[in-house]
Amino acid sequence: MKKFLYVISCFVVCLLMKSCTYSQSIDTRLFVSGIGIDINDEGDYSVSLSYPDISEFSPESSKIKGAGSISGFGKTFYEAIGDAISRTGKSVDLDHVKVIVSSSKVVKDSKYFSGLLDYLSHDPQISRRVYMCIGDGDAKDFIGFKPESGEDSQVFISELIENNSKDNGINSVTLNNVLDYFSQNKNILLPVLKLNEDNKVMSVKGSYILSNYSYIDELTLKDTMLINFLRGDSDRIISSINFKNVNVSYEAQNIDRKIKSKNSSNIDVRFNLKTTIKNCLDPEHTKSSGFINDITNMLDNNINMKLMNLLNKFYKEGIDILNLEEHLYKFNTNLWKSYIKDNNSWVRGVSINLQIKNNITNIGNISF
Amino acid sequence: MKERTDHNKIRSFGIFSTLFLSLVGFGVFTYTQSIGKILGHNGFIPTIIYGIIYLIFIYMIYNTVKLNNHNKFEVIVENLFGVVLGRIILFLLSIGVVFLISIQLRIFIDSIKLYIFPNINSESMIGITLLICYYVVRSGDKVLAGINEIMFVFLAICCLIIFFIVYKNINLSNVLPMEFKDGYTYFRGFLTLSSYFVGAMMLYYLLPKYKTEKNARLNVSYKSTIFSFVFLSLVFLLCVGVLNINQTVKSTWPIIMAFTTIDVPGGFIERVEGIIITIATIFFLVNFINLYFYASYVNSKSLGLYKHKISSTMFIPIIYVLTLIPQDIDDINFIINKWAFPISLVLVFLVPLVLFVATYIKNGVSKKEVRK
Repeated sequence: MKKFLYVISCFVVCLLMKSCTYSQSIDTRLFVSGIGIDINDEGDYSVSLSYPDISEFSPESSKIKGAGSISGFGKTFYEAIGDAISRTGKSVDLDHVKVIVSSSKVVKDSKYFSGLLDYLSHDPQISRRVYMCIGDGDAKDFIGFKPESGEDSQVFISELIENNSKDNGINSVTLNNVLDYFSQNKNILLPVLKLNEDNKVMSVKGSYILSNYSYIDELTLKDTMLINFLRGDSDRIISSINFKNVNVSYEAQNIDRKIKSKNSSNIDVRFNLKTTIKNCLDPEHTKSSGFINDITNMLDNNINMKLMNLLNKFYKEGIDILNLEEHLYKFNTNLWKSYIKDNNSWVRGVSINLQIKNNITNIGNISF
Repeated sequence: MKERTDHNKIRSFGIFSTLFLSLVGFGVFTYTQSIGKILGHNGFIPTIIYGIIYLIFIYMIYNTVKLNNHNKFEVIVENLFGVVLGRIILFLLSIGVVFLISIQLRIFIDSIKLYIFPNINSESMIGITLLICYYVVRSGDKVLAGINEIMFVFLAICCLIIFFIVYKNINLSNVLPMEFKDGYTYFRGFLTLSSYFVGAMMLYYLLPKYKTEKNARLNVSYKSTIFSFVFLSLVFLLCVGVLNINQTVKSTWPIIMAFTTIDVPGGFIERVEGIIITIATIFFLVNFINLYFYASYVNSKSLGLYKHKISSTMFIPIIYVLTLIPQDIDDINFIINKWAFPISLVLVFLVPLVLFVATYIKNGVSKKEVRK
């Protein structure tokens, strides 16, 4: 009898819990998969939410009827979400957001961008694994983009970023990366997407350099690859050089990256590369004995020159693109304390000595 | 027929797991943030050193029990201070522990409310948690060590799996550079870490029940204490490695936030933080049950009751009311800094010290009497 009463009381307690009495069925919820953030003409946030339409979703036929999107406006991000909710008859669920696209207008205005990140970092519903990227244009177009393959826009965008981070050397940035870099006073490269004129093709344009919630500069896709390579975020360069009137393609993979500093203004950055030659059509090359040696020297000089041009441009403008200050703070604290801590113009005065060593280890099927 | 096991005996693994789960429990939620605020990004080595210093107090507790012929806690206190004063001390101790666990329950419920059940009101959650814990505590003198043993094995397996999931995301360079702070800062850090070790008092209950010769008692309690502060320092390393110190200090529950950033390749677990909340919940519940049982045990002895069941029933409304007293975050912070912190310091440092000194003095007096 005593046990029976206990079971009954447990049962009653379970029934009294809200989850049983106020349950929501799955088709009354709006599972947001992508968020697009923009600023409208009045200076308010304009938020567009894309979601898969699961109104015909049932255990018998697991059919997803395309995708939809709604948008809302407001002084703060939260108000804008509330405004968007007022236009739908469903409850909005932000648990499954995969991609956040903010328009370049938002990113270039540090007030709006910091407000956005503040909200995103506070909300326990939004996972910190969401991809952050920038849309060059209206964020709504990116979120409502319909690729020809018929996928959802957020799936397409996340795959675009992931695959380009492997092959084109852009940095796939999550919300956590952004907050992490900004909280350590480091700069970060955010990928920028663009649409062509009739909104039918989406591609990666390059990336923006952001530091401390504010926009600094823009990079093309090629430069992004080189800068990410120098920063150690991506591990390869894919490019070509002109060698005796033949365009030779190569892929250089970084196997060892070292930063050494003797004093505060001279910093050595050393790379040890494993290089693959992709083509070499001229039969003349095979006859010369010092061919490998020649091409290695040429690659060393070529890559060095390319990278130094980029680096000099940034360091002359006072942008610490390689986050060297943070590196010195962690690994050479005495130097940082004595020279760099109070010296604001340190970045302009620093001279970087880049040393690149290519080792050609792979030449494909054809031997020289 | 099988012999029925003797519930008055606890084996060494029982002591190990019970002590570990009493020391580490609530600390999993807030330890990282509070020690990070004081010591900055390299707080994990001081944690280990603090733990080694803290072993002195474990030694004191062990010797107090040993010099008093392995009597039960209430007998020790009553022998030392007399019946009236001893019972008043026991009563105050139990009220102190109850006060601490109710504040911990409040913070726990707040975190659960944020991450898992945003729509359920706190009162019903507190009620249900109390009911579950009460059910275990009622038969606590029989099952406590057993529950701790099972939960320890379960949690150890879970933590190991979680560690293998997370180790790729730990960026150890976040711990650099090594910096030295002044002595006062390290002292504050020691007090902060020690305030999580209220559960060390469980030894007064456990040691008399563990019947062995030699130094096995001391060894097992040392091992358990060392294990718990190594565990805490690993938690710190994980949070700082994944999040970096600036975000760790800012976040309300760093350990949960650290896991919201982790992406499991292959996607067989979509949300790792769900597992972490479950593990942290079990950590908290077992810790809560241990301390709740201890409080009601001590309280029942102070009131001269035979069983602790009446005390544990009596504590339900008290914990419920204490949990709901703070209205907002400001109140909680005020209570933690102005009340809970000093009370836990008294329980962690003063009580073992006073008992140990009193035992020594009394032993000295009785030896003199024997000589006369």
